[in-house]
Amino acid sequence: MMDGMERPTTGSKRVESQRPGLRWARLVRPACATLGGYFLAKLLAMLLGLALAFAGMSESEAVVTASMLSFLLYLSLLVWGFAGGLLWPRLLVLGLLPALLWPLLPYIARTGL
Amino acid sequence: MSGDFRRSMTTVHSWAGVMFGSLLMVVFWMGSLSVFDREIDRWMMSDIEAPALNHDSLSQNVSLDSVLRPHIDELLAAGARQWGSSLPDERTPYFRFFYQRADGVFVSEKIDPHRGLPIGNEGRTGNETLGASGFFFPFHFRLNLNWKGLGHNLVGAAAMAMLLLLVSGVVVHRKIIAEFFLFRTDKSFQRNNLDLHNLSSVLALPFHFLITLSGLIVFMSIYVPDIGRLVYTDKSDAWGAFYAEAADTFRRPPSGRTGGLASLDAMRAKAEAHWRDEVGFIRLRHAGDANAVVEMGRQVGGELSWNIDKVYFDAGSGERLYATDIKPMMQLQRFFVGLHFAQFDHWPLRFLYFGSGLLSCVMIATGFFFWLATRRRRHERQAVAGFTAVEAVTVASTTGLLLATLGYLVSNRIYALTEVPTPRALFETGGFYAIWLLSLLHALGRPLAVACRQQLAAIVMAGLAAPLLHFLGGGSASTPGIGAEQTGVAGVNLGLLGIALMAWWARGRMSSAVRCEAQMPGVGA
Repeated sequence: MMDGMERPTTGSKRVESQRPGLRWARLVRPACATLGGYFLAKLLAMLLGLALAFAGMSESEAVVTASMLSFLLYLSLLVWGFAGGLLWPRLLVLGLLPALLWPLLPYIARTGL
Repeated sequence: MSGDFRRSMTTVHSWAGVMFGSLLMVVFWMGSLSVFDREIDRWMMSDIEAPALNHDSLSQNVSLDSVLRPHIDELLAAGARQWGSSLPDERTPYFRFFYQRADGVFVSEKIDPHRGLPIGNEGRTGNETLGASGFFFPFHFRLNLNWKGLGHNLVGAAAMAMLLLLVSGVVVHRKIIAEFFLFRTDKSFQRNNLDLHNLSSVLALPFHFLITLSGLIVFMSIYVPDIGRLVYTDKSDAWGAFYAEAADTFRRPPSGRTGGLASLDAMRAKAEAHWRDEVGFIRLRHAGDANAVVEMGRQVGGELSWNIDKVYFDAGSGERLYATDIKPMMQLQRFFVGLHFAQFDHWPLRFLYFGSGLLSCVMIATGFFFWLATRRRRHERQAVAGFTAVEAVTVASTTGLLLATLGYLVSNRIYALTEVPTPRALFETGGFYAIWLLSLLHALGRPLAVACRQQLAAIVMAGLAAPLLHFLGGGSASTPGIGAEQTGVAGVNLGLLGIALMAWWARGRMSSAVRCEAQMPGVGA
């Protein structure tokens, strides 16, 4: 990862020494955080809506609650995705989890297909 | 907070800022202008709609049956299927009327509350302007890019980026309270610029966050359309099913038999008695059918929340059919919508919105300039491709955007003063885009500081020219009058002069800063 605004003049060496393969690897984290984060946030919001409806909230109220919270969920996932630290937990949670859960949605839906 | 976390947030802050800065600048600038969209509308229409403008046109004094009814009957005879209109109010002294023609196309027009005739088509064909509410306002939320919802989604992505920028910015900014009181006017331009970025960010932080979040909530049907998919199993239209329940909508199918239309004034009186509040909007569905329904919506100016309360009437008999009852969480959503749209009758709040929106613009622009300045040397040394382009885009999205906006208003006045044969809306939007494009080309051809200074000079001239042209070509509406209707138009003129003044000041400040830094290599940028 390159430096931010704190030490703007020290980044040059690293950029020069970068191997071409690493350039693409650097796109994995942003892709996970933005795309994976969006789908996971939406998934979690959908499940929240379903849970609220089961808990007795009226259907439209459950959906509007979940919809409003989905943006804050997405924001949290974005921050976590872009925070430093290991890449593989992000890959697992933001990449793999939504990819696995998405096809299962029809079976979780309230009255089936 | 670990250093690692702060470093990653710094990276995200600069990358998201560079990628979405221009887009955010456009959205926040257009949004700020939209706070006063009706006033700008009136300024732009001052040569055509004079007869409509006085206090008799306030909704309470206008009979729907005598003013709107003849027009409606004419449309129905021509085969219109539905129509609707918002009622005149203090800021919009005319009916904003729409109808669906027999071929399915929706047409909108402004109706003079005195004569019941459409405003803006007299004398010249194609004389109708989009104004601010038809151009700046849609630009704010969909960039006037309607292809496959592209504009909406770009703005949505920018809004999420904005939230991320705010969070990461707070993390990056270590001494958020201590530095809030720090503004080093004596130091370099670069230091000043960063202090201004921090000041505008922190001062209006709650505004930046809430206006962005509420903007996303306004369009949740577009950004997260399928949240209801697990709850509403009708896969074809989960959102439709949701909205019908959430808004407590009343619908009934057309019968196929023809039917009449009872007194609209009587229905309005019933609806107003029900809410003890004024009607702001009416709509007729299944026009001409025996099952036609008149929908009356409560006005939104009275409170912070943007209500969707409606009373439904049988069009033929005028009997009340149904009154909506909105549930609490949906009311919370309506609260966020109201918070975003700022349509409540409260002038100080409106100015506060405008000022905070401008602070957002300042925050975005200064952030951009900071990024450019810290990187210019390194990128020049390494000859990073595209850096000049980023600089030019920055200029086009700051001073260029202001210039294009002024170009839109100046085109409006040129149209009023001359015999341009093109339709007015085309002439004005053409002026906007042409000047925007020119500002980009201009910035591509010269260094950032020079481009900025020259465009600021152009802004000064355009900011002076627009009120001058307005004074010269105001037509009948420019005849002196000190009523409420003239205050808004005068306010727009004052605002334009203010822009010219600010641009003049910024130009001088930039020149001296550039001179200063040229003498002291190694300091600042």
